[in-house]
Amino acid sequence: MIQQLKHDIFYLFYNRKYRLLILLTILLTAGLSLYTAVNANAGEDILIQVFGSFRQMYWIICAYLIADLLSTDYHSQTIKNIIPKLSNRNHYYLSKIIVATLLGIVILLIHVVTSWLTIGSLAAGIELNYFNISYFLCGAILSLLFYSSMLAFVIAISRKETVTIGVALGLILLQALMEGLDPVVSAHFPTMYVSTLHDLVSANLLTGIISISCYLIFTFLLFIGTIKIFSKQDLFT
Amino acid sequence: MKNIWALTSFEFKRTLTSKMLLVYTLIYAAMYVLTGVIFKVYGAGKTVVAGYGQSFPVEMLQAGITFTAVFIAIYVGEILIQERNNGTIKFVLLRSVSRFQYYISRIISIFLFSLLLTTIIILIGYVVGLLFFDWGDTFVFYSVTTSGWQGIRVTVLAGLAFAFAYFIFGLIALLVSQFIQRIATLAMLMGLSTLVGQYIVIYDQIKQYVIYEHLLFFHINLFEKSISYSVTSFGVLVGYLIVLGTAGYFLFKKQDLYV
Repeated sequence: MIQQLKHDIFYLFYNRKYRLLILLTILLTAGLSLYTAVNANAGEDILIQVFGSFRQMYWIICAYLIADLLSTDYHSQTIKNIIPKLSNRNHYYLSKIIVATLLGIVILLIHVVTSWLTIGSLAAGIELNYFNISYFLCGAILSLLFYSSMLAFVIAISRKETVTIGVALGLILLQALMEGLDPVVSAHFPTMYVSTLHDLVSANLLTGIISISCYLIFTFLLFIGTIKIFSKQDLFT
Repeated sequence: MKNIWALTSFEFKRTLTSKMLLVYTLIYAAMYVLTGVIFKVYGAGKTVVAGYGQSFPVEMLQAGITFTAVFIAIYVGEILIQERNNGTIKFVLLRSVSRFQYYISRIISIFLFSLLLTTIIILIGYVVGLLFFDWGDTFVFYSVTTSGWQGIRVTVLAGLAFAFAYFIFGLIALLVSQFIQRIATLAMLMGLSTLVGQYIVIYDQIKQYVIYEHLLFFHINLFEKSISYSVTSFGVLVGYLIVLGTAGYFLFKKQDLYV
């Protein structure tokens, strides 16, 4: 397991496109911060508004990085080389899901820091509001774990990179279309969870607990489903 | 010509039986059904549709800009990046197929795929529209109000304009794909570009020359703006076609495919 985790972390570390992804996050955040500062009269909530504009792009980036990380061995046909090194096939997807979630969190933190720095330097002296950071991170972890497990399930079934990226981006865009309609329902969407978890819990603790439990249960079920399918797959041909 | 036809028809047949097309169809169907449900539950104010089955397909075309752009990019990745990565491009080029013929076959395949995707979107639109709203007495699409066959004619015309704009977008993806190794990267970049590109539409002076304006509005402007405006837009898209097709081919011609 540790070996697989190290392998996945090194893959991220040495792959140039992940560094470009971080650069893209910084540029998009800085651009959106400047655009919001110039065009919107958001006042103390400007950082929240910047995150609101960035959220869709963040999820497209996350959908990409999760799909990319999960499908890289299918793409380069190196899965045969990796599996014999593991004591248990389950560790393969567990490691991918953990690393994808961590990278998603890192990108989110980079956005937070960049937007703070950009807006902070433009509007020095103004007290700025932001989300409750512990709920913010908790929402991100839960939604990223859920999304990674779901895509792991998709790739375990389809074994195709194109299907995985199609489903990953398709579902993000589908949620983006639906999330403005009914705030009560859309607050539970993975793409909204980062910003809505705190409100969900503070408005009604029971609803919050049920929502979090549902995320954990579905993530667990999807992961179990993935490893059940994966452990029986013929990967030797 | 025979080679181009053989390559194109092979790609088209492969597309028709691919899992990917099934995924696209399911995602569009889910989006359309959700729109129908939202219309029924929350009323017309929450959706872009007027509530007539006959105009539902054409009204929904614009809603899927990023979806369609991503799907076109994935398709382009499948027909070029995947062939390069798997090494199967060599099998084709080792036969009596020139790089020009190969590249033209890819361009035609993208055109056919755009038409196929638009046809699927419109057919899903009719099925979902009939299920949720019935056929209805009137066809309403911006300022066009008609009914019956005339409405179908407007839908087909708008669909062709929509497919043509996405075909041009596919050519941009084809050009970009020559610098990219992974289909997922291409899909993400092209999808993100539509989100960022929509900001350009606010600049009136340049918007007619930007592809994102045409992805969103070419099929609408055909009925809303003057003929000269539509002819200019069409000319812009043809200009894109010539420039992207030529530049893409020359890049492809110079590519090292022997490794």
